[in-house]
Amino acid sequence: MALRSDAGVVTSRRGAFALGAPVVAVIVLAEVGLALQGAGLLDSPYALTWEAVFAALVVQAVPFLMLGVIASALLSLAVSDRTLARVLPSHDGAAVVVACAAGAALPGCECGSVPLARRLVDRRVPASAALTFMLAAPAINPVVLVATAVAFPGRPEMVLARLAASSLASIAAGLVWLRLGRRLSLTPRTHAAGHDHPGRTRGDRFAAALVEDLVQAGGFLTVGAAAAATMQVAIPGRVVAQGAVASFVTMALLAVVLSICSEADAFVASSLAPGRPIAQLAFITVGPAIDLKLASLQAGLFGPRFAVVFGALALAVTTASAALIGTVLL
Amino acid sequence: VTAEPGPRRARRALSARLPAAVVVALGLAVIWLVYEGQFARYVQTWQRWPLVIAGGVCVVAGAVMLVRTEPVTHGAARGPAWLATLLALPVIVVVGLQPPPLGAAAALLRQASLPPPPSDQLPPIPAWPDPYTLTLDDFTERALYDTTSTLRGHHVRLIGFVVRDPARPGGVLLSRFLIVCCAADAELIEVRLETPKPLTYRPGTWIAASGTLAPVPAHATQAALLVDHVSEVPAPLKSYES
Repeated sequence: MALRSDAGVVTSRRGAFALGAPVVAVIVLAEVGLALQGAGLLDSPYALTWEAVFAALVVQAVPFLMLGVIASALLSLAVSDRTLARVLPSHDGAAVVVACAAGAALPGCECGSVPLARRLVDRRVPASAALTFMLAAPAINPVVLVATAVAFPGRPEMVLARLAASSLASIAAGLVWLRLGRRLSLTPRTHAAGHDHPGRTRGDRFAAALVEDLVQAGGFLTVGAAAAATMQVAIPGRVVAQGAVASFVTMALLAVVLSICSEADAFVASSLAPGRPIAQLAFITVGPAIDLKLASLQAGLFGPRFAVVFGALALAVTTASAALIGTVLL
Repeated sequence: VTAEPGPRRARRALSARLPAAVVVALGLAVIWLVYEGQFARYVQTWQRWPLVIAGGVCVVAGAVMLVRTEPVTHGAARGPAWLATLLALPVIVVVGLQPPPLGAAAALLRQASLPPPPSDQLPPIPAWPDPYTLTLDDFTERALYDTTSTLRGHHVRLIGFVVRDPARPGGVLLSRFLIVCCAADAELIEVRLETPKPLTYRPGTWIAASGTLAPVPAHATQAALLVDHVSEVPAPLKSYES
């Protein structure tokens, strides 16, 4: 209690700034935007495309982010800590494999799986298992696998390769985190939806948790969407280099910067690098694990330091896994 | 908490309300996008109801937070105030700037993509109505890969916007973007229009062109339509193929 009232004093000293600065910032942003538009500067093809892609990434994310936030809130209400502990094997390595299988079975997507994984960590599920779930759920769920089959007609080996490469990468990331996580520990948040504030109704706590998660994830998502929109405008022809290694590397990097949803990435991959199946596999394996949009969501819900370390890990395991599986299967 | 002076408490209460206010604004903006039909500029039209529901939840949850006298200040140290400011940016873009759907301007920045070869036999084109309206994607797929020539002898109609053909001075491409989820995964499809007289439509004009498939050379990467009739049409509400 002493800690909390200290925090209250600090917050109140910064209160004027915390309230004034954002309001001023919103007004300045709006004014600058309208002034630029008035001067005709926002009518260039670059500006118009940037605005549409930026708006699309955010609008697209809203329902799915909401679904993830609501699902994780329901998880808190419906599944007790004891039940959750019983479902997961007590051996950490086995828990990682179970988490990967759970991710494959549940139709989720990137924006929804990040808040869900955050909530699993809050519920004291081992971070390694939660993160494996976060990587597997968007990459290899049934909806995505069907979309992949449609995008690569007559090439069922692409579906198999995707399933294998993403499963391998998710499990590898979880196992690495078992070691790495000791140095960069993820602590459960004491959430607004938790057990404090006994005077509040369940609905109030639900609303508070929802607003908090949405603002934290959504605020950072805005940064990721802006960066991705900038890259989409800056990389005009989406030119993919020739050559086995060069096409692999460019496709992996494109997956990171273009930030395309996992339901759609197979379609883009199939037209990006025709005749380069391993490079296409790299695109659909890296993209659902790490891209600008995902990194920004993770920075919001897990913290910027985590996002950097985990982003590097996810990029490493997915490229290695895509190279390995691609060489064996394709 | 009760020991705090009134103004300080009020200030803290207000700063905690800013995130809630932004969430309400975001929810209203999303609902407005669906109401105005502008959401189809950004995402697939099947996302209409998911957007309305998500927007509604935003409005209700944010409003609940706004009317409470003692808002929850959790996470204030992690800076939801400035994060909330960032979340206001997309609201400003979609409500204030209202960017048009990806069209002739974006087409200048992109290269056209090729649909993948189909694995199955393509269904025949119905004889009625004549001309039968095909998507640019369907037309291109049939033109480039179709071994059974389902297009032969058919009079078809294509709808899209006009883009200048960089390969032929005075030439025109009929173009359209195809999206799977949202405008971030848009791919450009272009069909060459072959007309006796050059078309004088300005880039970005929506037109309907009817005609027959032009002969396809080996290793072609673009389909062409021998146009016999062309007219200007209003821009469709659903501007993307899907």
